[in-house]
Amino acid sequence: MARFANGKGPFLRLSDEKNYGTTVIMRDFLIALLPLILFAWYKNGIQVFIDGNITLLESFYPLVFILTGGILSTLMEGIFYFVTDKEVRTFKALFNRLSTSYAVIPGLLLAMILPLYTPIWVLIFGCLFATIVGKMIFGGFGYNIFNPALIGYIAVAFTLMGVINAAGGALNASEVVIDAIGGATPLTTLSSSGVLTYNTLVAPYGNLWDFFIGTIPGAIAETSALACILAYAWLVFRKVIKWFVPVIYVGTVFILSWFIGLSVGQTGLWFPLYSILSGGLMFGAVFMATEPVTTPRNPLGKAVFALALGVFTVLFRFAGDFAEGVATSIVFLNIFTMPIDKWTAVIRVEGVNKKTLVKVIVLAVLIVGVAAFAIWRSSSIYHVLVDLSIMIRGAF
Amino acid sequence: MKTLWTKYGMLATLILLFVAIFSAGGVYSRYMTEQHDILVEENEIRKEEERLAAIEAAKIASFVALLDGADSAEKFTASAFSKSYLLGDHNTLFTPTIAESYKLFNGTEEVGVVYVVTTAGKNEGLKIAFAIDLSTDACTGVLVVEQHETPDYYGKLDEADFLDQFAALSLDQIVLAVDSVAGATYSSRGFEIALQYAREVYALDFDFEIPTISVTLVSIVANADPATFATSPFIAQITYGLNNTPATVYLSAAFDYNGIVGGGTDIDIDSQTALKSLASAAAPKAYFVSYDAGTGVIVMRSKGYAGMITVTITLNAGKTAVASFVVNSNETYNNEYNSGYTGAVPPAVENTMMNQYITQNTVNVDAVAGASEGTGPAMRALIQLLDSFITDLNGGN
Repeated sequence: MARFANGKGPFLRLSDEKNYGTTVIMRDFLIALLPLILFAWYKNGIQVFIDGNITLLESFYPLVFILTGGILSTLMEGIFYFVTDKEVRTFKALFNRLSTSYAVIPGLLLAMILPLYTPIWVLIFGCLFATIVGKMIFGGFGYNIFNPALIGYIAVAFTLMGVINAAGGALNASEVVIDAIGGATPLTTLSSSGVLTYNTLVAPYGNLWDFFIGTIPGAIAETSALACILAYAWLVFRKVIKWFVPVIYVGTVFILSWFIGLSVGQTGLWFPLYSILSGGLMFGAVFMATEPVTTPRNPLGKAVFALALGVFTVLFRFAGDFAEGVATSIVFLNIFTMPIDKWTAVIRVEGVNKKTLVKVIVLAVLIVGVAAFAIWRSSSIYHVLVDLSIMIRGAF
Repeated sequence: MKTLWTKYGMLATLILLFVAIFSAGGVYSRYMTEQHDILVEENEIRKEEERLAAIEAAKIASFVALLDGADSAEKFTASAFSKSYLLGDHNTLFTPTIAESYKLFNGTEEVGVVYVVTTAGKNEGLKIAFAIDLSTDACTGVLVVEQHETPDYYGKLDEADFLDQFAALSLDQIVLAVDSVAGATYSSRGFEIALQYAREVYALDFDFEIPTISVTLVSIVANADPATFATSPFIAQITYGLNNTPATVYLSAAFDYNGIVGGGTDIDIDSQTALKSLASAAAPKAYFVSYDAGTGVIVMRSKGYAGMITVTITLNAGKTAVASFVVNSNETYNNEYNSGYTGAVPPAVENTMMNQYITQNTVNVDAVAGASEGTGPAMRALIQLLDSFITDLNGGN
């Protein structure tokens, strides 16, 4: 990543080296996705086949689905280039262009965060949005404002979630026959029941260790926290991402969820752990909150962005229609990437002084305010305030 | 051609690939969904089967608990039998049916049977399970499987511990009856006929012999002999026992057996019990309570609409006619049953009829101003009996 060069010139730009720059970054990125893809295949294919709930042909479906996502977005990008760019009308020109635009990524990521039984035509629709609307219309790789895969995901979630659920939804064939689960993922259980107890939210799916390993219902490849952590370690080791971004994001969700748990008398750590291990939080934190194009570039900006992501994720989980708050919060905050980047760059260089104080206060108030609102929206702090007012009145 | 390929080859390939994914992928994902739906459907069927099996298991466990020593039950088909019984309203005939039947086992030994009988109390759909011990031929317990009785009335059964009667109730008795609960007589009767029906089926299934009534009532009349009618107001002619032995017996006012007329060996106790129910259904309305030959005072009773009408009659000195009488009754009259009834206070009808008899010297009194359903016939029977008594006193005149 960007490094300030010390010493005397002339300087060589490392990213122009053969084994450096975006090509290597994207290769490392794809390697990081491998454990998740393999786990998805194991959990939704191989294990279900071993359980005897699907045939061998069906057991390949998760793998085929994810790879199809990658192929589809590549195809769409190719067709887009053919239509918009006269230069790119031969295979050679197309391969050259695709080798630097990483067309496979949006579709691949999108397929990984969709439910297992998403019909292929819905995946095509999602890839269309991800590649064309999310990426190419802005000018292609490096120019997009929003995370392309999440644009595709939100388009599908807003319009076709009913179709997906009718086709089978997120639960694989082994999960769907477990009565205790009742057809719901952990987060949809929280969203629909509103009951915040271990027996409702965790026990039907096993224990928190199952959440960590990822053998719980959810989107195809986002359930395994372990695989995400492996990917995280690899990406940090390869210096593709900043180590603190996922940590701050996940940590913020952990702390806010802990407060929410406390406000309804759940003093244990199970609820914050449940909150960070369910849904696509880990996946989003490692692969999307760190996306180089659509997130702030300076470290302070990344930290503030990650903090805001945590706050908005909790808010959307309790305030939105979707059980999952990761996609919406990342896309929402993508809009503010540029102002956050600019403000934090100034603060980072100048420190907190008279000139930057207003910016610091605005950012702090916004984040703390939204965090407080998120906890209030969880319908929990209200009870705390009522108790408090009764106590105060009692004292007088 | 080459130019065309150079120009559109890439696009055609991409679109072809796209179409291939759309078709093959669509088929694959559709196939996945179909398999998923089949799996879910099979799972629903499995769950439903498990649910029903659990209900059946719980039911069997509750049946097994009805008989001490039983540890398992097995369904079997009971013998077909049809018989109708009068319901609690004494009017409607109802034919109970066996809804289910289970043999109860202790290990492999058959120890009992459970019949679930569909009967009717106040309402239809009363299902009662009776457990019968094969070794004692006794009902050992009862379980209400389903009922639609009026809650208030049905609750009275529990209050009265009605079901306790079935805990050890021998089937080896002529009249298989249970004590009904006041206020829930329809429901009580529903249980009684269900048990009676279960006994009939039990007799067919397990070679059980139901004790039968061994008495035939030939006739029953009021006893006109002043020497005995005070204690035995009725005399019945019967045949009883395996050989249909004829006998003439005395019966009390409550139709209890009071000995053989003219003396002799008493009839067996089962026949006495059976005779009581036969006699009570066929007995004449009127009978003598007492007669004092010195004063000429006769006390008579007759079964009216509201219990017994008691008439105390004083004969004249020559005992040839009634000198005076006093009626004591609880009768009530109303226009519905008494055409021409003028509103007179009871015992106006009784008095009128007695006076008709005295003044017109006829036993065919009509019940002017009181042709009641119960009172009129009761008084007519009493007057006829009185008249024949006075006639007998006067040597047939």
